[in-house]
Amino acid sequence: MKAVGRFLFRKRGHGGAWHWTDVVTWIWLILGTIIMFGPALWLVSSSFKGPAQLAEFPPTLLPYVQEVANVEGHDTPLPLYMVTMEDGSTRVMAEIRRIGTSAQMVDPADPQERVSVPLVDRQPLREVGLALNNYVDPFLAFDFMRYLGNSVFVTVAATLLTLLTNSMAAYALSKYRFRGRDAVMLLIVATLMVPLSVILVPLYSVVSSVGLLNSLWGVILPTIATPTGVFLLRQYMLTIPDELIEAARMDHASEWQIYWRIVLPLAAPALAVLTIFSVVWRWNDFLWPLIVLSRRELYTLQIGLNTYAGELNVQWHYILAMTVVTMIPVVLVFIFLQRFITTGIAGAGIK
Amino acid sequence: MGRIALRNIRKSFQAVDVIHGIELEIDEGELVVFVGPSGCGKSTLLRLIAGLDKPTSGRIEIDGQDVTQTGAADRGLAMVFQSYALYPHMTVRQNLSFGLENQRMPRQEIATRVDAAARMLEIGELLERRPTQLSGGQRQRVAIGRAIVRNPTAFLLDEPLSNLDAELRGTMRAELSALHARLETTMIYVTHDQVEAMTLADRIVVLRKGRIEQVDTPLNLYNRPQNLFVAGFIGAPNMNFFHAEASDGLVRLPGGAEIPIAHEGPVTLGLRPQHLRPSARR
Repeated sequence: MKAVGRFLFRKRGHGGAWHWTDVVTWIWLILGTIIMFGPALWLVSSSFKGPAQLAEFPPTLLPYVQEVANVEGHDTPLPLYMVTMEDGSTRVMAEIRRIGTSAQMVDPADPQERVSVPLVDRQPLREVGLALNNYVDPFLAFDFMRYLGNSVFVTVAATLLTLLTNSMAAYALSKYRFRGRDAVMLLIVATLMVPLSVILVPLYSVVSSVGLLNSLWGVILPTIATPTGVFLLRQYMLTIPDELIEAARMDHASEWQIYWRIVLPLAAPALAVLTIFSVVWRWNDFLWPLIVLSRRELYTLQIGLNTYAGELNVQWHYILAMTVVTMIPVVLVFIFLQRFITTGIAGAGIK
Repeated sequence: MGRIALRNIRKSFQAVDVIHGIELEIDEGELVVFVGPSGCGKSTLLRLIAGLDKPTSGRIEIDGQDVTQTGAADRGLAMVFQSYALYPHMTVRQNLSFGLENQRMPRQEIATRVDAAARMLEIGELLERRPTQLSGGQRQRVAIGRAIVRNPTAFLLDEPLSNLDAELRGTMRAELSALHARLETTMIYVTHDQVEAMTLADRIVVLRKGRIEQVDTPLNLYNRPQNLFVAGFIGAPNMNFFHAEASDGLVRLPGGAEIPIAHEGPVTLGLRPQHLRPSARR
C-alpha cells in the first residue's frame, strides 16, 4: 500500500518539491479523467432522476426523490414541502393540488386544516434516492425484451459473419500471392474513406430490391464486410510465419483446413479485437437500422429508445435509464475480451 | 522407395536466376547433404523437391515418377523446417497427429504411430505439452517426430540443427545419424556447416551460386576436390593456395621441393595446413 502511494505521488522535483511538469501532469490527468469519465458518471446518476429533477436548473449532481407522506383522507401519498408561513415560521406540509400560482397544502398532522400557499413560498423536501421507475417502467410498458432480443440477434449474427468473411479475405490477402493482390487491398482500404451517409440511398435501393426491408437480415448483411476488419486481420496474419502454413501443407491439410485449424486459432488476438469493434458497432448502430426497420416488433434497442424522443415531448428519464442498460453489454464484452488484445501466441512455435 | 532425381532444374524469381540447371540422382536410403555458402540456392533446391515451390523448368522424379506438377502433400515427403514450424496452439500429440488426421487415418493407427515415434525419440512424457513449454532440443525432436509419423519416402531437413547450442548440436547430430541408420529412409539434409556435412553424409552436394560444384563422398571431396572452390570450401582451416609454374612435369618450389604434375605452364598449388611439418633444416 505504501509503495503504491509512493509511486502515485512521486515527483520529478528534488526532495519532494513540485517541478512544473508535476503540476502539468496532475492537471492533465485530472482533466482527462473528468473529460473521459465525467459524461458516463453523469449519465448513470441522471438516469436515476425523475423527469422534474432532470428539467430543473441548476442541475444537481446526485439523484434526489421528493419525500412523501400518507395523509388521512387521501388515497395516494402526498408530496411534502417546506413552507414559509406569513409570520416567517416554517412548517412541513403536504400538497393536495395546485391552483394557478398557489397550492392547496395540508399539515399531515392536522388533515382537516387546508392552507393556500403561494408557490414561491415553499421548497420541496427531498432526500437522496433513486427513481427506479425509470428502469422498471420500460421493462413493463416498453417492449424492452423484444428490442433486446432483436439487438442481440443482430449483433451476434453480424459479428460472427464479420469475423468469418473478414478473416477469409484477410487470409487470402496476406498469405496467397496472386496478381492484383495489392490493388485489391488498396481498394478495400480506400473504402474506409466512404462514409455510410454517402452510400445510404443506393444501399437502400439494393436492400429494398432484394426484399430485405423490414427484416433483421437487411440490417445484418450490408454491415458484415468491413474494411477495418480486413485490414486489421491482414496485418496480424502477415506476422504468422509462412513456414507454419507450409508445414501444414506438407501435412496434407487442405487450404480450408489450413485456414480453419492453423490461421484462425493463431489470429485469435486480432479476432478478439475485431469482435470488440464489431459488437460495439452493431450494438450502437442507429442510422441504418432506423432506415431498414419500420415495423415496431423488429426494432433494435437503439431504434426503440428513439421512440421516447417524440416531436413535442422527450422522455429523458427513460432514455437515460435505457441508455445505461444498453451500455452494459458493451462494457461486459470489453471486460471479457480485453485480455486477448495483449496476448499473441503466433510466434511461440517458432524458435 | 525413395529414389529422387533432378533433371535440369532451373528456378528464377522474376528476373533473378537462382538455380541454373541442376542434375542430380539420389539413391534409395542415401543421406545426401546439400552444403554451400549462404545464398547458394540449397534451401531453394530443397523447397523445389518438397513441392513448396515449382521449378521454372526441368523435371523432378521420385521413384521414377514425374512429380514436377504434384502438390507438396502428395509427394510422400516429410520436411523438418529450420524454425521447426510446430503449431503453437496444439499439444505435441496434436502436432504429431495433425498430418495423419488430414489423411483420414483411423484413430487407432494414429495413436499407434504417434506412440511409436514418441518412444523412438523419447518424447513420451511431453505429449500433452505445448511447443512453448519445450526446450529447443525437445522442439527439435518433436519436429522430427512429426516427420517420422508420416512414414515418408524421404526426409527433407532444412538446417535442422542451426537453432541449437553447440553441445546439443553434437548429440542431435549423432541421433540423426542413428535414426537414419535405423529407418534406412532417404534423407536430404541442407546445412551451411561443413562439420555436419562431413560427419553425416553418405554423399555431399557442394553448391555455389545455383550450380553444383561437386557431388561425392566426404572423403573424396576432401582428398580429391575437383575445383578451387570445393578445395577451399571443405576443410578447416582452409587450404592454402600458391601460384607456381610447372615445367617438364614438375613444380619446383622455392625451398627446393619438387612435385610431379601432369600439366605445363602456370598452376595453383593447394596445400592443407595439417600436411605441413616443421623442419629442422633452415
